[in-house]
Amino acid sequence: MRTNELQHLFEKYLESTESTADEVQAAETIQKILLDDDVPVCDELSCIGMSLPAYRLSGDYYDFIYDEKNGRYWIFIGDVMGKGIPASLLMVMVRSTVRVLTRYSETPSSLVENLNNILLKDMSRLRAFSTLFCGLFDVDSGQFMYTSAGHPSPIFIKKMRMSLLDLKRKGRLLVYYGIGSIVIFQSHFAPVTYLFYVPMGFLKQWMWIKTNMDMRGYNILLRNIDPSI
Amino acid sequence: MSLSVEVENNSAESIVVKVVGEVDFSTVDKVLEVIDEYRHTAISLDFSGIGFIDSTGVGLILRSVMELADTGGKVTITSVPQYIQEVLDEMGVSDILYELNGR
Repeated sequence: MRTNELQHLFEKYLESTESTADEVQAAETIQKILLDDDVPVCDELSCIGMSLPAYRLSGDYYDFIYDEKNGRYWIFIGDVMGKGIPASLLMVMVRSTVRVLTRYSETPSSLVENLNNILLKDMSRLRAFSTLFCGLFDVDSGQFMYTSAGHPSPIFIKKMRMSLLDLKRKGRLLVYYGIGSIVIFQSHFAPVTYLFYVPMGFLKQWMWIKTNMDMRGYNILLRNIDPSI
Repeated sequence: MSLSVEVENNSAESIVVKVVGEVDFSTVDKVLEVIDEYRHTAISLDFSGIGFIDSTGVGLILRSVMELADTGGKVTITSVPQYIQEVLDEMGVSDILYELNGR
């Protein structure tokens, strides 16, 4: 659903909001508007994100931010731990801070470190945690740098090799993201390379694929993406 | 999803809580209730019977452990299935629990 359609829905809900149920529905719409923001267009990279909340609202977060001037494409996926409205409120806090920090950060690790420092006080008081995978694609060189604050690692596929690679990285959750966690990894994106991330809710299936990092896992992953394969 | 939580070896000083099933946003409250009820004893969560834990499960249990640690309480997690242990390791949760319980 495009942002303008969601905006229309949101305005409709605002006019009719009279009960708690309406407010939850309005919050749900706001979250959809934020998550389903237009993905920035970039010739060298194609990104798609989607969220299927198990509850009406979730702490799921993903974002694509293209700094066209500097040829940098930021990719984020994270999960604020918790349920419903509280998790979604915190997710908005993470999203807003991330978006500001992309303007001032040179590397994924510096961004996540600053994010942690900024959120530390509030997240600690609220006893809240969040995971975050942060990747930075250099459009000119094809290099991909990333770091993770406790988010399950993505799977990296070079199509011609017909194999999966687990970009494993042990990190720590935000709020516990410490100096020891700041690691920069680099990989090179050749043409026809896929990188898949998952939110925490898909852990069960994700872990299965990761324990079957062979043709079987590869084929199942592709079939889930495109049933015609 | 179903989850059963049983308290074993109940004593004044320590208990073992056997958790069986799937720990997620709809079931984690059962675990939290037991942690809260036995907050004055050392609690060992036996995870050998769990098949899945989601981020809400991890987060809320971690939050309880932090709150107990602030008041001198202690919660440990034992017998975690390998693939779940890998997730907890990847998230840094294992290290965090170790630090919380060690301080």
